[in-house]
Amino acid sequence: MTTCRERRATLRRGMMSALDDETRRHLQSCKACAEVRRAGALLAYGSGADEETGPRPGFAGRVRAALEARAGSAAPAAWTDAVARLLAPSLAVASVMAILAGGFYVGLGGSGDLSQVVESDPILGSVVAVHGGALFASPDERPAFEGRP
Amino acid sequence: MADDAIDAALVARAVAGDAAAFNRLVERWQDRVFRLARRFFRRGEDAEEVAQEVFMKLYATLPRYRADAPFEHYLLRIATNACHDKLRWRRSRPETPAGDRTGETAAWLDRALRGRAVEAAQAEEARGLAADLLDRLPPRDRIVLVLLDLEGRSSAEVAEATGSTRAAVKIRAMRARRALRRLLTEVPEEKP
Repeated sequence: MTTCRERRATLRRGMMSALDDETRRHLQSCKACAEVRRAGALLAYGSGADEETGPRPGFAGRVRAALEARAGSAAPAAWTDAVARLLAPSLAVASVMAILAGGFYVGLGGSGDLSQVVESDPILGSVVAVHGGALFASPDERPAFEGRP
Repeated sequence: MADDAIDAALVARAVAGDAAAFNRLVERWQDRVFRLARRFFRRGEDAEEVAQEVFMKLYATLPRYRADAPFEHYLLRIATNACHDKLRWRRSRPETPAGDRTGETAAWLDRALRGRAVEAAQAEEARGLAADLLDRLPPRDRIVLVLLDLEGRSSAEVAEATGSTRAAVKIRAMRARRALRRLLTEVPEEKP
């Protein structure tokens, strides 16, 4: 004779069609097994257990396209990352050297006043375009904006 | 050639860069993966999105696959994780609160659970209510129940798929079944 414990493995699958007549009769008298069957039925019904479906046609092609799109978007990131790794140390060294060179230039020039160097040096003077003095003047002395050219 | 050997050969070719081999692998497994996703997601688009994610993860991790274990187990683990992630994501953004459904829907669901005939439109509503109720289970618990009871997996297979132990799977299943029975209190039984 089948025990309740043995029956429950089938009952948990929740399929009424899978039940034999003996089990159906048993369910009318055993409340615990009936509850297990009902819970199994809820799981099966809410989980689309009876639906034999597959993805829409062309699924493999869509996966391939998604992989290619992901690879395409990832490639520039990897490239820029590599460039950044190579260039970052060089840029850092160049920046330090530029600062040091600026310091030596000011020191050897003898004035020690950066604003004078900017005004007298043709290169630095050209960098500071129209109102070079405005960069070093206090806000109160700054000349009024003359409008767009 | 046995199925495992076919999969192992396709994986080896895909890892070597053979796109056609990976395509073939997708075609061999797409229905199984989709059906598993469909257990948790009623909308076909959601299930397909998860299935696509599974194969993309598979592609990314394919070099890590060792042929000493069945390919199916490897894929099941990826699929389980993808379903779990999506379930957790959806749990934080509920679409249709179960409370919006009418008492009539519960009656239709009750009829369906008894194995009685229900009209198509009513069955769709009833299925929606059943899915909403199942959504209240913690994702990991629901996955364990589906794999054990609906997919017919052994507790050892479920443990492997969920990255757990057999004992933990059994405890989780027991707890989930209890929670499932509590959910049934929202579907009152029709008096005979």
